Amino acid sequence: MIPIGSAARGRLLPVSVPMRYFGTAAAYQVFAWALLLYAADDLAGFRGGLGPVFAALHLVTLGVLAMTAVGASLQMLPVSTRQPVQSVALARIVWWLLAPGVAVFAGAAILYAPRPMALGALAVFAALGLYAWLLFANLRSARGMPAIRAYGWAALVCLVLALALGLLLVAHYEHGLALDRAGVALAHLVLASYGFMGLLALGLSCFMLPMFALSPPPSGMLATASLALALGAIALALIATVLDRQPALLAVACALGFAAAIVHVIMMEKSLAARLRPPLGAAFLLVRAAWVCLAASLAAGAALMLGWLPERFVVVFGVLLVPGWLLTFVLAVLQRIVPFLASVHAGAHGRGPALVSSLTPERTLDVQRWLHLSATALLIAGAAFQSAAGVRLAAAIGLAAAIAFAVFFTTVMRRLRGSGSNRSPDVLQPTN
Amino acid sequence: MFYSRQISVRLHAEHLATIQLWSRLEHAIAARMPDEQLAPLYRNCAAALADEVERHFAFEEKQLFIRLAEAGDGDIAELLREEHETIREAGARLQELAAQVRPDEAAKRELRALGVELAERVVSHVQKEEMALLPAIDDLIDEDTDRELALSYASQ
Repeated sequence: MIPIGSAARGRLLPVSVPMRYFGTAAAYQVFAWALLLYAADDLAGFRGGLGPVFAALHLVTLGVLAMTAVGASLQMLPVSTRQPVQSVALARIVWWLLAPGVAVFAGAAILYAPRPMALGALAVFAALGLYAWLLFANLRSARGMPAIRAYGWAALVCLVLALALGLLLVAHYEHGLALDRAGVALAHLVLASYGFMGLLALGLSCFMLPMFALSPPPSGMLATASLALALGAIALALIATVLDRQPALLAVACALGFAAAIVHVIMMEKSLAARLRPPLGAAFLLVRAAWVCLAASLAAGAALMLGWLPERFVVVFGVLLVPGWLLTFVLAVLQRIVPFLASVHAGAHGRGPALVSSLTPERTLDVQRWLHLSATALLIAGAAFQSAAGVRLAAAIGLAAAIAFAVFFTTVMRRLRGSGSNRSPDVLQPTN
Repeated sequence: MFYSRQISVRLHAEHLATIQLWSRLEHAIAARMPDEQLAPLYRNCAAALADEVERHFAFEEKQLFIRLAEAGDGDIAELLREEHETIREAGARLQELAAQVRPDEAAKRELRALGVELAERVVSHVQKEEMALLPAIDDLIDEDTDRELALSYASQ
C-alpha cells in the first residue's frame, strides 16, 4: 500500500475531489472546441502528427475523457465495489499532475515543441500511473458485482498498455526512437479509446444507468458476453497491428467490437425497459446517441479496412469514436452525476438535503444537448465531405455547447455553495 | 438489484412499492389531474408515510444504519438519516393538508408542490439506499443475523 495520506473514511469522497475533475473536464472541453474552430481547415487532412488538431484531440481524450473517467470512477467505483478509495491524498495528487500535465502537453503540441510536450506527457503518465494504482487497489479487494469488476480489470490492463505505448510515442517524437509510428499510434488509440475509456464506460454503465433509471441491473451473462467480445476485438486489433496492420484482421476486430456493442445496447435497453419510473430523463437521449456512434465507428472502421470507404473516412471514424461515442456518453453521465453528487453533499450542512432538480439548470442542459448533438452530426458530415466550412460551423456550435456545459457545471457548484451558506437559502427553489 | 439476504429482499420490495405509489402521484400532478381526483392519492401517500414508511425508516435507523456506520460508512448512514428527517417533516405537512376536507386554493397549491417535492425526495432516497445501503447490508450480516433481523422486522 502506498503510505500517502489515509484511506477515505467511507465510500463518499469529499465533494471537492470528484468535482475538481469534472470542472477541469468542462474547461478543457471549451478549449478543445475552440482549438478545433481555429484549426478547422486542418481536420480533413489530419492523419496524426503534432499541431492544433492533435492538441484538440488530446484535450478531449486526456482533458475531458480521462479526466472525467478518473473523477467518476474514484467516486462511483467504490460504491459498486463496496471498497473505499485507498488514499484521498493520492486522488488529489492525481489531479494536480493530470490537469497541468494536459495543458503543457496540448500547448506544446500546438507549438510543435516535443521537449515541453514530453514534460507534459510525463506528468500525465505519472497521474494515470497513480490512478492505475488506485484502481488496482480498489479492484483487488472489491466485493459484489463481478461483471463490473471484470470490466474494471480489463480497463486497467488497457490503461497500463496504452500508457506504455504512449511513452514509446513520446520517445519517438522527443528522441527519435525508431518505431512503426503509425502501428504504435493505432495500438495506442485502440487501447486508450475502446480499451480503457470504452471498457470503463461499458462497465460503469451496468451500475450507473440502472441506478439513474431505477431499473434492475443488466444480465450478468450478457455483460460477460459483451466483455468477452470486446476483449477479443481489442486483442485481435493488437495482433493485427503487430502483423503490419493487417486490414482483414482489423476488419474482423471491428466486427467483433460491433457485436460487443450490440450485445451491450440490447442488454442495457432490456434493463431500462424494466425501469420502475417511466420518465428516463433527457440525458438518456445523449446515451443513446453515443451508442449509435459507438456502433457506427466500428462499422466505419471495418468498412475502411475492407476498402469499402475512401481513405478520407478515417477522420469520420475518429469523429464517431471520440466526440460521437466517448464525449457524448461522458457528457450524458456528467449531466446526471454532477447534480446527484452535489445533492448528496448539499445535505451535509445540517439543512434538509437539496433536491437534484433544484440544483440542475434544466434549460441550460436542454440547450447544451441539442447544440452538442448538432455539432457532432455536422462534424461527421464536414469530415465526410471534407468541408472546412462545415467543420468550422460544427466547431462553433460545439464551442457553444461546451460553454453551455460549463455554465451548467458552475451553476450547480454555485447552488451547492449556496446550500451550505446561511446567506443563500434559495438553493431549494427550483429556478434556472 | 438482486439481494441474497431476506432483510434486503424485504426492504427492496418495499422500495418498489414506494416508488410505484409516489410515481403515480408525481405523474398525476404533472398531468394536471383535477384536485378532486388527486385527493385520494394524497391520502394514500400520506397514509403510507405514516405507517409503512415510518416503520421502514425506524427499522433502518435502529438496526441498519448503525451497522453501516460501524463498517466505515458513517457518512452515508448520516446522509440517509438526514433524508429520513426531511421526508418525515415534509410528510407531516402533507398529512396535515391531505386531511383537510375543503382545502382552499393556497392549500391545493401547497399540496401539489409538496407532492412533487416528496416524490423526488422519496425516489432519490430509495435510489441511494438501493445503491449504497442494501448491497452493504447484504455483505455485512451473516445468515443468523439476517434471520433475526427479518423476524424482528416482521414482528414490528
